[in-house]
Amino acid sequence: MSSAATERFDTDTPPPYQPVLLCHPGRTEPVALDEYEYRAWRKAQEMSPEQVIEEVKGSNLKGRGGAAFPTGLKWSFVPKIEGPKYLCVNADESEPGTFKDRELMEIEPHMLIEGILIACYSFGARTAFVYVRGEYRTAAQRLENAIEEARRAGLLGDYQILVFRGAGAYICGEETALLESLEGRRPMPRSRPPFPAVEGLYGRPSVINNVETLVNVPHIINRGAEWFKALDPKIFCLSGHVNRPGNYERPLGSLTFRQLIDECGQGVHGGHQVKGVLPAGASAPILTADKLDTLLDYDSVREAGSMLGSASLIVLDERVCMVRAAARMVEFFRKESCGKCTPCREGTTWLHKVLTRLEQGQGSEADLDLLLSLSDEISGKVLCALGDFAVSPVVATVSQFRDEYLAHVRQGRCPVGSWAE
Amino acid sequence: MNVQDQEAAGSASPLSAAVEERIRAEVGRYPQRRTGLLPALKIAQEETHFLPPPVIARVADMVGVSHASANELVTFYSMLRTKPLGTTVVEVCAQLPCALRGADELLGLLAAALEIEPGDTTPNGAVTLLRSHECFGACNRAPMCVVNDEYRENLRGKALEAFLAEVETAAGLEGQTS
Ligand SMILES: Cc1cc2nc3c(=O)[nH]c(=O)nc-3n(C[C@H](O)[C@H](O)[C@H](O)COP(=O)(O)O)c2cc1C
Ligand code: SF4
Ligand code: FES
Repeated sequence: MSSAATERFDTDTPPPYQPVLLCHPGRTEPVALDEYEYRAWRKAQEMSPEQVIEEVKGSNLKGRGGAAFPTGLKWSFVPKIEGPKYLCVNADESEPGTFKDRELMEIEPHMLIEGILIACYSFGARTAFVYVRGEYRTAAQRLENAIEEARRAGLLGDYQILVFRGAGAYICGEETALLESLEGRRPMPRSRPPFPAVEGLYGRPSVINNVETLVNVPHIINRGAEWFKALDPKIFCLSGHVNRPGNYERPLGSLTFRQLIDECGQGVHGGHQVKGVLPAGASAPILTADKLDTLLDYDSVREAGSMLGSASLIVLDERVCMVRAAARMVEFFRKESCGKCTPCREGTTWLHKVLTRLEQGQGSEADLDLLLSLSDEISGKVLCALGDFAVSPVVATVSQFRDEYLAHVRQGRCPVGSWAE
Repeated sequence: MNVQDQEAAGSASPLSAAVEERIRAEVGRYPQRRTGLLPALKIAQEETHFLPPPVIARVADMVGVSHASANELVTFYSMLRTKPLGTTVVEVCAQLPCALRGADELLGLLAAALEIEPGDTTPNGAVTLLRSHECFGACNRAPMCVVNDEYRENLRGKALEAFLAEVETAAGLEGQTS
């Protein structure tokens, strides 16, 4: 397993950022227990559960799974009642372009375990499930090994951490589908309310948190809410047409898209120009090159017309056919739609069909309006966010690259050749 | 062994005793047995390579759910297979980040080397070539594919040449390519 992605770089201007989460650049083997102190876990147990929640609230940590919901607030919603409560760790990571939780679990399993323990302590859970996507065999195995190490060292006490492996379904990353999957049912999202905090796994109060969210927690406990608030570290997954794709940790709001591409990704492959960047994998609207000076934080990306989501940035250079890119992403959502809502199930099938014929030069100008009206039929009319994710590549490309769509119609073929580097 | 298991064990099981033991242990790990259904199906599949109705039925009986409930999972999850595949399964990631870095070309090269179309198995049953619309979380090491659950990343240059040769060997086709 080679990882050029996390090597230190040799530029000396300005002082390089010291990563907190991906704190072992270049490493390929997991950090073992003898290299990791459970200092935050010890400290948290000397605090009251309420104090832990207050500290996390004060840190302003927002969920890294995509929705950016304040983590401390989420924990505080769990009712203080008797009986089992659960933490479900979302390690389903299947958004195209996302590979941060994998690196965290493969290299820093103890940091995750410590975050899990502190979260459980704060809202009164004794059992945590880690839902790892089925394909991440190395990550799941390393995490299990680390849990066993921690258990043997007596760090788990009466807490139980169960690694559960998925079996290939993007929808399991949606938190209520994840619960259904854990309960042994078809993973179809539930309607809300009731919310998981009140009625989650096995009908009991539950919290669902992303892996990256939880690895921040030990640092908040160790160094305090104020320190965290000032730093706000985030992992950016950078892929596509850059010279050096990889995971890069930087404070939120500390750099722009352009800086991330140039300084971390070492520029666009082959010296080409950026045509667009997808900030959140396939799930949020593409931003054109004129938006590259937007700061990488939740608010700035929203103001620019997209969403930062899980911060999975896919860079597309000027040679990419936008119709083909949209078709590829929509193919994903069509196949991953769970089928529960008719507009999503049927609509994504149609979107893909129309995009495919446009890409092949067999579409018509009317197809562009058809794409938009189909999108309108899905957006806001379905049970979970997958429906909105599915229309975003369509609406964003039809509106921003209309001429390119029309060129396909007029020329009767794709005017662009291969799109690979 | 509970009563249900004993009854089911009476008829010939399509699973080995060792696999049944692993399934029983797995199901017992969770607060509710049904949580073990998906893991149990995966354990069964490790032995039987795909999940025909008798295997699904046996796993359902062991977990204590209806056959339909187990079948619902088998037909939903992409890693659970209802049909036999080749001994070696090569699944190429064709999602956007990989496609931008040569995934379609990789798939084409593999299809040419194996003399089959994506989705097909070589006539001798040795290798199945699949095109995946799913991203495997390895886009920083694109293009890539998954070979019998193992990640093969950065497939370019010399690594690609070696990989193509390896796949041809697995298919019993070595030395035939030009
Ligand atoms: C279709 C879909 C897929 C999702 N996939 C993931 C995922 O793979 N990982 C993840 O952490 N969150 C995913 N989410 C978001 C979760 O529903 C949930 O918001 C998140 O896990 C909460 O954790 P956080 O508050 O720590 O961010 C997905 C949401 C949707 C609608
Ligand atoms: S919006 Fe799509 S994926 Fe979500 S519940 Fe409905 S059919 Fe399933
Ligand atoms: S797109 Fe291929 S691994 Fe992510």
